Amino acid sequence: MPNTQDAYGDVEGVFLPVAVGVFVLVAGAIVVLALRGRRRTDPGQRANNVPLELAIVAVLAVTAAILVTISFSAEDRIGSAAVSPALRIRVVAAKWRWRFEYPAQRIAIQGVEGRVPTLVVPAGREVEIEGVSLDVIHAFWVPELRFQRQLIPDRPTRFALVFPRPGFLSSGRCSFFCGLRHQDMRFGVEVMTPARFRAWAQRA
Amino acid sequence: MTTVAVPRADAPGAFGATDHKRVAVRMALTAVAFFAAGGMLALVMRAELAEPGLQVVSTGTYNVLFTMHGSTMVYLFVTPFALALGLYLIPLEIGAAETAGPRWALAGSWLLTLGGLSMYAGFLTRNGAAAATWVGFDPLSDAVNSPGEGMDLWILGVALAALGEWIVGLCILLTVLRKRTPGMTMLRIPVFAWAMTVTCLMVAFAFPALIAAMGLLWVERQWGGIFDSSEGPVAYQHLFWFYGHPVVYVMFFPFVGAVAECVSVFSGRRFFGYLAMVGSLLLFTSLSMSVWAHHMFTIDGVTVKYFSLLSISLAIPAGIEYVDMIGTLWGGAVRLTTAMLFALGFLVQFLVGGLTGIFVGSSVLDYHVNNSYFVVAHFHYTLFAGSFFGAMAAVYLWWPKVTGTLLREGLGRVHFWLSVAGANLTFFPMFLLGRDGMTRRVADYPGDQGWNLENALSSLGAALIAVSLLVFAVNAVVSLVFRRPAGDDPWEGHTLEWATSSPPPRHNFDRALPPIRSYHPLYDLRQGETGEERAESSPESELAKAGPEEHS
Repeated sequence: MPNTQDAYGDVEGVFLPVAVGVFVLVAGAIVVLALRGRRRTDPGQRANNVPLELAIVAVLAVTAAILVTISFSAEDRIGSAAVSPALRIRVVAAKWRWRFEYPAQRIAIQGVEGRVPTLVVPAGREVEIEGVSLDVIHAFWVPELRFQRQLIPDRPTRFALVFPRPGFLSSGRCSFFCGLRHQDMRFGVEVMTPARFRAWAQRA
Repeated sequence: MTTVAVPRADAPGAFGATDHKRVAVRMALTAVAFFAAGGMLALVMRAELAEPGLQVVSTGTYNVLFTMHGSTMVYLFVTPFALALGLYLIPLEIGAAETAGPRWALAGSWLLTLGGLSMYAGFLTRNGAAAATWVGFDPLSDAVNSPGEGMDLWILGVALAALGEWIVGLCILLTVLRKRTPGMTMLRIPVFAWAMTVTCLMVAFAFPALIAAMGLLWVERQWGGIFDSSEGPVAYQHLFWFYGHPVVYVMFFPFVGAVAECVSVFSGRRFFGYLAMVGSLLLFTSLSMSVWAHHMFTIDGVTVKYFSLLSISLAIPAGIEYVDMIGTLWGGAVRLTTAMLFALGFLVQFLVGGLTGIFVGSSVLDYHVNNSYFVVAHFHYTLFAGSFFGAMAAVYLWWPKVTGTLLREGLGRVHFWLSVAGANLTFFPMFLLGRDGMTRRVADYPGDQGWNLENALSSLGAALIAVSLLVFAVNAVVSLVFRRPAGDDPWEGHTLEWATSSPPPRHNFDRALPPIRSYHPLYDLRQGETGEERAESSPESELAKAGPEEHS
């Protein structure tokens, strides 16, 4: 199941410590060498060290290969959507509001001026989203899920998401600059238990 | 020579002189003027974002501010300033009397100015200046979504500026290839000259894509029919980023070159690993032309793995450059001049931008942080905390050569430390904001998301940066009014620009050049003076000679 939260966490869990480690090592070396060098009067003559340079290239290449491998394996997990998802939702973006359509359930939630709409989804189930824009490029971003996609006019974009836990997420937003009121193009996400979601879908 | 030596009045001389040094200085000053304008726009933005709610400007005005800020910094400040450095220094560093195509360079510099004026003329139109981001995304920038002449003037301005930069870039490239003095082989040109060479290679091949994109966008706005299909907006992004990624390195390499010169001069050492550096610059250049779509990871259907692989591979040439810089510092007799401080500041702070660049090179991580403040923090660490610090290192290093006077070291140190505090205070909180879900290009944000403190700190940092720049302005004025003559070579430089007067005469060298047997002819000269016999540089003899350098 394409759990984008976990995929992001797995990759960040390697990339971030590596970055911090490299920073401490390199920045530390620069500062120490600069300070120690102030007391020296006869500078060294050496202008290269081919074996050392080759060794470092090898270390860099191996590190890059490991990072790429980790990133690719997470990418594969995100891309593997189920053939028949539990739910299909059509997300329609237009300047500057959202509309969430549930074709099978015959439900549509429309954002209106001054009121942020709420996307309702079941927890722990795979949801297939088909996103489309009616005017300029928008992007569908739920920061908690660590995932976003550009929605381009007349070019339906499909992706699968899993919302792991029930609860209310307030930070859904359009992340692609779309003009005058881009900042107001937000939405909430109500993640329900599957049973509650079924009840909601029938009542609505 | 077909140059006609007709005596001219002074006014045309100031505008029409073909001396590469005069063209370059005017180009740099124009770039600095645009930097001041773009900086003001940023200060207004940070004032607006200091706290939630709209206090200073309207949403519409804010959109103009960030569009013009980005456009100014990329098209009108960093790129032109980098090219101006090259135009001034390359002929000097390779022992040439003139640039290739001096009148072309002059024309290019004026096209650039004209482009900037066109972009800013948008402020005088009824609908205001452009507000469709520095990228000009289609369809946001089309006639329906961005009506008004401001957008047209922006398109014209970007095209003119890019054309000017392309011409100047070609002049510098041809200067390196055709004008080197006898003995100055390609493997004896200074590291800065190599950095400019690869920069201009990218300018030559990437900038036409931007000119084409602007032309198509203009036709689209007049008559439509260009980006109409559902793939149109994606095609525009491909075309734009084919320019838009290489330009990132155009705004980086010249300053890497300047920093390399600083580090080796102020360590009193030859640059370590010259050949590896040249190789890494060439590898960097070819990779940078091949990673553009990592700006488009969030579009369905982009071949993310290919672009992710190549983007992360950039760590290899970048790592080599850092190893060479550290190798030069190692065993050096370090002088912490202001130029050296800015160079070291560049190395440490750019590292943050570079490492987070590897971070966003992973598609999975980019799916979250794309278009968030994380990206804003990342590229400001490369461009401001990085390139701008490199540019200041270049200014402090070469100011004596260009003006003939010295800057004050005391004021310089104040300038440096204020810049460090300002840059990190402004841009570090943005990493946290972006990771936490704050999108870029918003005039306002909800007050209940826990973003207030980070935004307030960031705005405070921006004010500090402004103060640091005022200190530099004072330093510049003091240096020019109360002149302390610099002499030909105040720093014990290694390269040929220090073997002539400051400022250099019309044709650069009015004396015989020293013998050129390496990429550091003046260093060789001094080694000879101190009676130290040096074997012809070959790796083996150097390895044999060099003792362990870590202790002293």
